[in-house]
Amino acid sequence: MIPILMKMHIREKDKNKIKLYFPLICIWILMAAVMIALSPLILIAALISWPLGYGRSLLLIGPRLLTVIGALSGLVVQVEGSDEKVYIYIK
Amino acid sequence: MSEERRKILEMLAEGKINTDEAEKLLAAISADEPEKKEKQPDSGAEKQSPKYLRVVVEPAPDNKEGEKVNIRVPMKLLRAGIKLASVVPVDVQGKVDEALKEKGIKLDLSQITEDNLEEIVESLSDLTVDVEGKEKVRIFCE
Repeated sequence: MIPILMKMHIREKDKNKIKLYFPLICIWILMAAVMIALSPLILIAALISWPLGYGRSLLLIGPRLLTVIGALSGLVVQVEGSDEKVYIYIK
Repeated sequence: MSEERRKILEMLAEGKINTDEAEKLLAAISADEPEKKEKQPDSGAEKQSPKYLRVVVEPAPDNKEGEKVNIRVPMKLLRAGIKLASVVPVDVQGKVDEALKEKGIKLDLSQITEDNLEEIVESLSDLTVDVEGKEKVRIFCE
């Protein structure tokens, strides 16, 4: 399942607390549109650069990148100091 | 030793069967055993594959200025990352390897393939690193 929401909490001493709930689904829709638009160009570039050894990489980098994005769900990064606290959670 | 094997050996000891018959019976049992093992349901003792790699850094009790770090990386992200690294062009992989060597890490990215990917991730399940100094660092899988 692709990640749909990113929670980000930032707290700094003597400053306002920031709580951000970012709907990642918007980015994925935008990315999908860009990838579809670019796919013919990528295909041509892959064919041209195939003899140089970059063709396979160009063809596979898109799907593999999508796999990485899809696997982000469940990632937690939490850093807490004496003055500040950062919490990022990808749901 | 299984009950069936014990009975065959007892029969052999009592002289009810000869050595050839005992050998045949033991061979028949050996042939049946792998099938039985396959049919056995997964036992609870069987190790489950971990879902997350955790990195936890905590300051020592006397260190009040230290930072707490808690990172949870999904195992599927590691798998996807390794798969992504496998499509990096060979000459770029060489540059990455050289940069890692300069940092004292001997790692050949070209040796990491999709075939041994699962083996690498499975090996991580046994990984536990505990370092205690000014900060307590724990790396483990859960």
